[in-house]
Amino acid sequence: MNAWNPTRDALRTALVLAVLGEPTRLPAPASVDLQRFWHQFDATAPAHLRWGFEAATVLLGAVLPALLGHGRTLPHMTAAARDAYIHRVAGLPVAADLIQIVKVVAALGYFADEGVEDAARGVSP
Amino acid sequence: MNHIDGRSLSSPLTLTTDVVIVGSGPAGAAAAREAVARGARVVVLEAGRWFEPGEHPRSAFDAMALLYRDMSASVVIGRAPMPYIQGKMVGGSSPINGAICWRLPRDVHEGWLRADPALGDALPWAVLEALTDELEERLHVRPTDPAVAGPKNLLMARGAEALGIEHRPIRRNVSGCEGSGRCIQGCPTGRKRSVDVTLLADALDGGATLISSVEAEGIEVDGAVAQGVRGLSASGARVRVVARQAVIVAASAVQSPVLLLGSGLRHGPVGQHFQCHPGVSMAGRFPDPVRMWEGATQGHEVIGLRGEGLKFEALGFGLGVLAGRLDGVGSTFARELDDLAHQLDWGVAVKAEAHGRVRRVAGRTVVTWSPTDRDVAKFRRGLRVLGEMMLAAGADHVAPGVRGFTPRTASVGDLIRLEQDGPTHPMAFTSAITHMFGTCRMGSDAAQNVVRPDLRHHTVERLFVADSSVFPTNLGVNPQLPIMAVATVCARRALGLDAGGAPMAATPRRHPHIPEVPMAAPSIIRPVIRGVEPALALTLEDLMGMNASQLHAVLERGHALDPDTLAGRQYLGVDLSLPELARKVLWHTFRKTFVRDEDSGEVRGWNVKMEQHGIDGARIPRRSWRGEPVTFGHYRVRSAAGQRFPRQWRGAHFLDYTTAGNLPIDPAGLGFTPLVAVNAASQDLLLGWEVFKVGPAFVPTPLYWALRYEGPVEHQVAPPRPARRHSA
Repeated sequence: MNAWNPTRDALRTALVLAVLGEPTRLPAPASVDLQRFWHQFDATAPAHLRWGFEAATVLLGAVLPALLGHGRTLPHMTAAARDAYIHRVAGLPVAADLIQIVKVVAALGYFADEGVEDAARGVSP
Repeated sequence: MNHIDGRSLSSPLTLTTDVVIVGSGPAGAAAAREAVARGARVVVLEAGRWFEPGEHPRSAFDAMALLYRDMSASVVIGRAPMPYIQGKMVGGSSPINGAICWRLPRDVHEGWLRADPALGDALPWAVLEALTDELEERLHVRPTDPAVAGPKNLLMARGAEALGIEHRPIRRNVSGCEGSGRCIQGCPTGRKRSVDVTLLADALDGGATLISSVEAEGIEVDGAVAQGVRGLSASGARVRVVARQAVIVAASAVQSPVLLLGSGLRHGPVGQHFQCHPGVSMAGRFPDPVRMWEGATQGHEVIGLRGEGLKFEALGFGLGVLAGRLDGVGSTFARELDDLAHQLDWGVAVKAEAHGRVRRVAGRTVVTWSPTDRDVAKFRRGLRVLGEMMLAAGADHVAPGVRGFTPRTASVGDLIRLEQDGPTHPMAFTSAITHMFGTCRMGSDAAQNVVRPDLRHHTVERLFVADSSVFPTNLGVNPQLPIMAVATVCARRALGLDAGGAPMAATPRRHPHIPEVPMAAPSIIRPVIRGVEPALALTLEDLMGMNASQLHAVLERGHALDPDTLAGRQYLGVDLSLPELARKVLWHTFRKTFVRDEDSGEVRGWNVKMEQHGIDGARIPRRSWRGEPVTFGHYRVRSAAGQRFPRQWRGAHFLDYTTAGNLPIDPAGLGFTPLVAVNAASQDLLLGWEVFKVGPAFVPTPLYWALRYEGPVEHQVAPPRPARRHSA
């Protein structure tokens, strides 16, 4: 494993958590182990999706927080700051498109967890 | 069952059969079943792997990763990148589609006949109808049972009824459906009557052989007659299937033209006229839980606007896909997730008028397609109707998912405004493409079509195409049944029968000059130029369109050089090893010369560096500060007799750089390069293969270059140092 991997994993996990928010009727996204998902995603996703997601991770997780004056990268923000940030960038051109990609990947990763799928199917308000 | 799993092949496999079929989807399975029923021996090659019903994953992501080509993230390139969805497994997309079955619409068939009356004899309506009747029985096609429809389908019926638009339960190929809502992940209970468990199973029961997990790499053609198919298994083993009667390509409207192009079969508009059904969808929130993941995946459709090219369907996604389509991010998105049970998605499939193209670029598949403005107008109209139906069915609000438009509304006025004044750029819409057509179009005009009305290739005998790539237009409806019907006719044609299955007079059944090759025996068929018609003279452009294995086949079959003719000539050299796109950008050329050495009597030569002025630019030598052409890499033409070249090449001559007097710093000085004349009785087009010799060892490379005759040598150059004598 090179030094980039832990940083990348921290960035993309933080990004997924920021996009998913904190649903109350489903398992907390932070409690879901995404390692199996990331492993399969890296192994299976076509190059354009993998690299597109990689670019979105770096841009949304590290570059834009700095440019927008947050002073720290996404993994180091509080939950509230993360939520405010993700809402803010969702309104920016280009960033909004990248967030759509991240949202699709995040949703797939979240529901790839058996516990989340079971909980969702059992949800009956 | 005769199933060979390509994942476990450990050595090359060669089979001989009557008919080889590439692809096991609706087209390939139907063709295989018919061919077997008519007594032919059949081998089916399939790129995807075999899955048992119990193996189908539950999560949407796992399904996409395992069952879909490129994780269903292949995209068309154009004004708006859109994913196009294809399955990659035994059965093609059939095991993971929504099980929707439509007969070929009469108006579509009539349109084909108006454009080309010859199709009337080749694909008679009565034959297609009879075949479809039989297929519907075999696949157990029935209207969706309301007992398993679930809320999403019943609500669509309610909404369409309220608006007075014709609608009906979808006719699906299922038997005993339990409404588990997982059609697109592969039925977990095996209730879908997809082709892998019906038509293909029939073919296998009748003796066909299925080889799964083998990607077809090329069609072997000799003398304008298809000989077979070669492929590569997932385990890395070479697979070759020799077909004594026919090669049927049934790999889809994307993969079939790519296979033809990769085999050098560029006749006609292969890859062009790509048509499709792009779809857009509308989300809606209902006051009562609708639990979109329950009930028949796609059980109801609204067909009243089919004349406008719009067909509406209830959708059923895995939870991961459904969630990804919800509105908002962060805390807003989390609230939508909590509300997931109330969310619905319905879609509209658009019969788009736009044409695109499938290409093979640097060995990869590239699809270009952009919707026209009228197509985008159909997106807007479709979304308006979807929204109105949802509101009429009782939705609290709807979410059009259109960038630059209100994210959610409960106002019909807003929806009318969306249709009339909404965004006109396709990037504003979230869309996906299913059902692709037209890239190997059938028709009687050889210049405008790839295959004839009887589905036989226009220039290659015994080669047929059976899938939706032959359809002259898109259908506006789900194509799997029409594909199966046409593929059945294709199999009959391949066996020398008419569309109805009756024998045709004076149709050769077999080509006796093709020898039998026993199962699993080493290939004894003489080398052929795969995908090239050797009866025709090849051009530089032909060579530039070939991949490395095709170039090597040309090299193996090449003709001896005539040193007397070569002496005094200079040739334009073109690097063939760069991928097509890179070649267009970089355009690497050089010049090679040949002169008779006065001292030794041998023919020798040297390379001249050329200025790069684009692919069609002037061929100007690069000059040194003294104004002389910059030269490098001197060589001598030598007989290859007694040399043992890599890959058992046994040509007549090679260029020996090692003894030609090159400076030690010139890397070309290691060259030991086979060179042949490409066409018989002509020294105007030569093909070289870059091989180096380091000490006693040969170092072969995948690099090839071509030489095209330019004219007499303009300028003579001596080698930098005296050439060494060599022992012949």
